[in-house]
Amino acid sequence: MRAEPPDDAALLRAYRETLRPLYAYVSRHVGGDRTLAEDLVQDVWMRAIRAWMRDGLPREPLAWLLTSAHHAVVSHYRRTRPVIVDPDAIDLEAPAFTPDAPDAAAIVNWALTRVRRAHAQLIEAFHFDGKSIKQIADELGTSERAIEGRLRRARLKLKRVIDRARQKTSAASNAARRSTEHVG
Amino acid sequence: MLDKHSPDPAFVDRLEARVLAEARRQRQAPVPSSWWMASRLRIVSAAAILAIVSMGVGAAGVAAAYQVKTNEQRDLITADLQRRLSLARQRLQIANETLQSAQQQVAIGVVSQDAVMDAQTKVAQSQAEVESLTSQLAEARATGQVAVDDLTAPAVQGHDYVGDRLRIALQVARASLQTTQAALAAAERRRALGITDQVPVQMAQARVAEQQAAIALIESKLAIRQRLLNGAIDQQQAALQGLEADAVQRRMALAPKLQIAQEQLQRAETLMSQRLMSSVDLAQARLNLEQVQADLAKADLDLALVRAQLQSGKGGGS
Repeated sequence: MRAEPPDDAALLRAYRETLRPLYAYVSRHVGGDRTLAEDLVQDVWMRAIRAWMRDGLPREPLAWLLTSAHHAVVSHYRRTRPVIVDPDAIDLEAPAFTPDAPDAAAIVNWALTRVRRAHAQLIEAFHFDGKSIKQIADELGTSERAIEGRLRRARLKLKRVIDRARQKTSAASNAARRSTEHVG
Repeated sequence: MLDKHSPDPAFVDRLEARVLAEARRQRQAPVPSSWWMASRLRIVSAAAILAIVSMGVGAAGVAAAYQVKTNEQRDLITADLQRRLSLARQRLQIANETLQSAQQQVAIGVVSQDAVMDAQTKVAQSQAEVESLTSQLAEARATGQVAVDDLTAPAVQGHDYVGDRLRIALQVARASLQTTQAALAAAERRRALGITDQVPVQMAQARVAEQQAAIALIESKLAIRQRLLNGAIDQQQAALQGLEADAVQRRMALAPKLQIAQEQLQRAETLMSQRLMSSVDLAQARLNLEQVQADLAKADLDLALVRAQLQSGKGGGS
């Protein structure tokens, strides 16, 4: 039997209780790009309305919204292919690196869609969600040393994806330039 | 100063209004399943259901919004609005100070004109928030209820509060259009310099189109509202014409996204043939295109259902 769709009061309550943590989650994952964060949060809520009107209000609206937001961020960065300009902006271990800038967040998020889920989750937890090694180790029920090792390997995988992308971007630009020169 | 990862209060209010509007739209125009749309008879039946549902929701909405008034309820609602209005005025003051600072910095060459434009947009949004809350407070004092933003709501003691707030939203939308157009110009400059490729320009173009569609929607709703209050149409007709305007706006906003998705697929196919892109990326580009096409088909369906109902004579002309 289909659940009752929520009325305006229930929707407003869910909206007011979840909007700030939802926005903060999305904003952290897009390097604070306000325009992009607002677009994605709006998309998530429109999707939520369509689903909740059909299936009823979920027991944990925030959990539903955060899962949907994660998919929205991943989908967005799968579609866009950022141009890699500054190598220092994408070295996860360099002092200059911070995902707290739209360009760096764009590159890292795009690359995260191309590594294994376990690696992506570790990098998200440490660099985007601000969790410490200890917190991650406690959540996964393993030692801090094991997490440090896994994080190191995850960063290496990410760097390889970004390096390959930089080479392909360079090759694609050269190919495009050669084809326009030929036409010209 | 707004924390980087905190939402802009004006965005919070705008999205809240959109969430409620979308929820009402979903209640009035439920999506039929594919088997339901198999026959012409079922299409006509779906339109009839839409009319019945919209009549029921409209009547119940009016009755619920203006039910028993109590002084205590009025006081609670107005106290909350006054608190929010006070905060909004503080934000407006901060926005004005930020604008003045940006103008001074541009004059001495410390920041670019973009900073002034952003600050001007922020002032416009903050001003609109103050005006909207003032309107809500006035309506709450008159009715003892939370302000209603339903297109079919009647005037309150001869005053059209819903129309007032639509006009405020229109001002904000026009200010936002200027900002998105400036962002498009900036993206085009960066592309011309070779700093980025075509994708950011296309996305900026899509945002401009979306903003233009939003402006057209508010203008349509204001016209519908005027016809309702003049008695040219009734509440059911106004509800249907509002749904029609929503569907038209969605089509306008989706059209450039469809073009972007088609070009991205072509680009992906070219890169794939040169072995510069993986099959996963190509599949993702195809899926993106199909999703936009599905959204556009949904908007076309909603528009066809509503127009069928309007043309059947029960909805009048649009």
